[in-house]
Amino acid sequence: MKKKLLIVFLLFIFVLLSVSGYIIFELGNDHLYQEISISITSQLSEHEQHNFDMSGVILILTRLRNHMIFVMAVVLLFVIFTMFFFIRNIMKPLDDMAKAAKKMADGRLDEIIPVRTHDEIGKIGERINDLAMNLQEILLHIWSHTTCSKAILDQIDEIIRSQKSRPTEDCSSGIPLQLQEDVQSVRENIEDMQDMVQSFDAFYDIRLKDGKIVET
Amino acid sequence: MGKRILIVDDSSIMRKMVRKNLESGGHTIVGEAKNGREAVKLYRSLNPDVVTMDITMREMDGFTAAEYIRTYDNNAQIIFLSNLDKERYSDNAKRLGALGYLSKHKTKEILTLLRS
Repeated sequence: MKKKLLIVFLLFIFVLLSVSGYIIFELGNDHLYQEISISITSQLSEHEQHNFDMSGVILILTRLRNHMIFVMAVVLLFVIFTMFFFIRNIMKPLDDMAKAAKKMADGRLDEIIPVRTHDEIGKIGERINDLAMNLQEILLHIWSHTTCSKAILDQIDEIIRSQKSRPTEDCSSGIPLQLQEDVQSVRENIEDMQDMVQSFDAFYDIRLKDGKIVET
Repeated sequence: MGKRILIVDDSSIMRKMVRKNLESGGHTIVGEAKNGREAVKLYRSLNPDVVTMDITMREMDGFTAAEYIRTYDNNAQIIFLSNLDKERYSDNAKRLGALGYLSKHKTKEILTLLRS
C-alpha cells in the first residue's frame, strides 16, 4: 500500500514537472519571441513596425515564466508535504496496526494497537483492541470453567476408584463401563479446550499458571 | 429493592454479560466504564449504589480506581470481578473495603451478594 501510494505521488510529481517544465522551457525559448514578434508586426504598418519595441513583450513573458516557476515550486512542495503527511499520519499507523493485528492473530493478545488519534484510523485501532480484549475474556472464561469442570471430574474419578476397590460381591458398587468411558471422554474434551486456550502465547496483563490466572 | 449500579470492565462482552445478570435481578445499570479513569469520573457524576469493578484494565486498573473512589466516597460499595486468582487478590480487595471479590465466570453470584 505504501509503495503504491509512493508510486502514485511520484507519477503525479513527474507529470507536474513535465508539464510545467515544458511550459517554462517554451516561455524562455527565442523561437517563441520571434513568432510573437512576427505575429504582432505583421498586423502593424511599416512606421509602427519601425517603432515597435519587443522588450515589453519579453518582459511580460519573462514575468510569466518566473510566476510559473514559483507556482510549480509551491505545488511541488505541497505535493511532497502531502506525501509525507499521508505516510506519517495514515500509512504509518495503518502499518503499525497491521503488524499488531498479525501478532494478535498469531495468538499474542498482549499486543496493543497504539491509538494516537480519534479519527477513523484511531477508531479502527480501538475496535481491534476491543476485539482482542473480548477474545481474551472468552478464553479466560473457557479456562476458568474447564478448570472447575476438571476438578469435578477428579472427584468423580476418585469416587469411581473407591467403588472399584470395594469387594466384587457387592453388586451395587459396580460402575458401568459406559459411565467410565463417558467421564474419560469429557475429560479429553476439557483438556482439548484447555490446550486451545494455552495455544495463545500471551494474554494482556495476565498469565495462566498451574490452572490459575495471575497478574504478570 | 433494585440498586443503581455502575459496571466497570474493559471488555464490552463482559459488561454486557454483567448487565444482563444484574438487570434480570431487578437492578438498574446507571453507567458503564471501560477503564479505571472513566470509572472514577462516572462515579462522581452518577453516584451509584454499587460498582462492579474489573481489576486488569488499561489506563487505570481496578484497585487504583477503587482507591480514588474510596477517597471521594468512603462508603462506596465496590464488588471486584476478576479472572485473577482469588486467594492472591481478595486481601487487597478487603483492604479497600470491597463488598466482595468474585470470579468473572461466576457473575450470577453478584445477585446473591447484593441480596445479602
